[in-house]
Amino acid sequence: MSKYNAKNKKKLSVVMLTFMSAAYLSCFSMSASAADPVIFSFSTIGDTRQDPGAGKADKTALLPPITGTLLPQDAQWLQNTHAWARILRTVQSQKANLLFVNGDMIMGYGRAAVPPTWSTTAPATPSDVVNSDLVNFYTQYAYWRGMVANSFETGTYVLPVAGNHEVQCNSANLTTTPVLSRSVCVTGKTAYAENEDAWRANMGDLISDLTTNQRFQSVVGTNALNVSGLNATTAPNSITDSSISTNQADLSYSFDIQTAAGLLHFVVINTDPVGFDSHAPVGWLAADLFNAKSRGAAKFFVFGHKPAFTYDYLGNGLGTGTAPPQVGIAGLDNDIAGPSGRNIFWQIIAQYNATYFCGHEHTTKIDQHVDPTNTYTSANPWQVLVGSGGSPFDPKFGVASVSSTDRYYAWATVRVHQSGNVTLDAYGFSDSFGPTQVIQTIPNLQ
Amino acid sequence: MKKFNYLWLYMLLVMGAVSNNAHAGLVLDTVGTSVNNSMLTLDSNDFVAAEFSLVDGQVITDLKAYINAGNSGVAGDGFTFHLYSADGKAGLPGTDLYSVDSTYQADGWNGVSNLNVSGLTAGNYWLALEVSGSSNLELPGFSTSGSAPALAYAFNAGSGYSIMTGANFGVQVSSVPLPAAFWLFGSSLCSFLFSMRRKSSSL
Repeated sequence: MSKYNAKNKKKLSVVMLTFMSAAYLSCFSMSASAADPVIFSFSTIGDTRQDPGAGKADKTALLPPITGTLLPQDAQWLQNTHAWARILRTVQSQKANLLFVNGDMIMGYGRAAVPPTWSTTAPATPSDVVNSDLVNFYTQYAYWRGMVANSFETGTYVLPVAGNHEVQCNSANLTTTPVLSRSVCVTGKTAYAENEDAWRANMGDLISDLTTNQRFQSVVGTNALNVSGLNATTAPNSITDSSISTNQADLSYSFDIQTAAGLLHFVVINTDPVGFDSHAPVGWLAADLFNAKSRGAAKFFVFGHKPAFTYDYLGNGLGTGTAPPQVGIAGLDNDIAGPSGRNIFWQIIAQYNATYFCGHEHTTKIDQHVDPTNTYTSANPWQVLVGSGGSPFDPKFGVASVSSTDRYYAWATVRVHQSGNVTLDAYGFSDSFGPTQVIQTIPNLQ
Repeated sequence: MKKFNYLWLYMLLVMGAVSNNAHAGLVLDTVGTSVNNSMLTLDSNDFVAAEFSLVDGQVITDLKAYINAGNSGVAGDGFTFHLYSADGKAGLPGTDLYSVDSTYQADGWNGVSNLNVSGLTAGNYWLALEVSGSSNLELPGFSTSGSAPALAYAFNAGSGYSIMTGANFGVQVSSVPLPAAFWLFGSSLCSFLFSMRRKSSSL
């Protein structure tokens, strides 16, 4: 009997071992997501606007669908509808809960105010009115809002990030505006309070719904918590950042999303506040991230327009050289070492091992940067530059650049998994509108 | 002796049917030995197709696609094989001749077997992978082709199929030269006749 039992036990252990090995192997061969399901996701992209400027579009002699070509249908509204509509469709198919658009959704670049000349000379023709900066801003916003409207219907809530084209006036751009419709702006690219007002007037409803929750929860599936930045007191101000002089409500804001994997914290910053262009509100950001961590936030995602580290897509070093041609510094690194400069900004990002998503350069670059101040050396945060939503590519057609995907219309989709692991996939399609491909995967973003 | 002949014929027919199923050939096999860097997306906005040719009377028995889950796919995600004739614009997918649903189970080959897609005339066809639900899957590219390379590839990013160059994906179509139904029907008919004959001779 005991011999029989021993034999049976041996058989049983062989069966068990076989079963366990099979189970192990099957688990091993399962995909990561099957073992670790996605519980929340968001997509992000920037720079969907078109550009009427001479020389901005490339391959203009060719017919669409060719990148950079300003289609007749887009000339009035200055939106790259061909690329942007396709990106939106795929983001919707990916079922992202949120879509952050990192600035430059409109061409803007004027002053969204009643031209001073109208106080003495009334506009005489419809053209005088409809070509004014004020009307241009509002119609371009309206067109963009119409393009993203369907996303809400399919479960993706769109959150906007202010870019320089929304808040700045470019003096060079005024030469294309009828005299009667102009408001003069100082030489160069400068943020104006009326443009910040126009932002709130055209985008504010999307942001205020984080608290009023008329639609946010029904679209996203969960509500936003601990919302900040929706009024002048909780947004960056002269107390948090001494160089801030205007109302930053709805321009820099933050909120939490509670998930089974922990509290996620999202921060949007205006990188061109009036009087402090090309700077992040670092005082406000530091306090905001500190508060979020204090209440238990585990993952931190920061969205702004201008990159902290300009991508040198030509590979010739950053600068103004022409032989060989160099990429000019385009982001917060215009002020590297100042008290509110790039290094301090990135030190804060590194302190919380946050990920910074941005645009401005019309290309894609996703890479890591250590804390330049060497204060928080354990983190190596990612900068996710996806300014590739439809604006004319910065790497020009026919000019060699660092990566074969530099001229891809691209976006990033971030997925938070049940385990708390955060993954990122960058998707895109070529400038000749080829098939959509996965162009970069990061298995452990945070 | 007659009885032996009928039995022999019946056995031959059944064996023929079995051997034909067992030796289904690949009429499309795009998978080579190594995976290159490209990774196409397969979701409700991004479809792909591969073109292949058939001779008259071939019957499709198996359809397989090489699929990865990536970071978003899960076991059970659905996708659909569509068989199109090449009568669309510029020979692209045109008439939808047949479709069958399948599900992603694990990274690698996923598909459906034991099909009996018959009535296909000689010519070029497209096998497309499409998604109608919320699946988000990925299709690795291959640096070399398999035993029966695609004649062409196409993609549809929401505005119809276009020719795709510089990227590919893994797909296999198996077929038998004659309809399996013919052999089954034939064997059934023979056995019926055989039994009828036995019955009449015994009367």
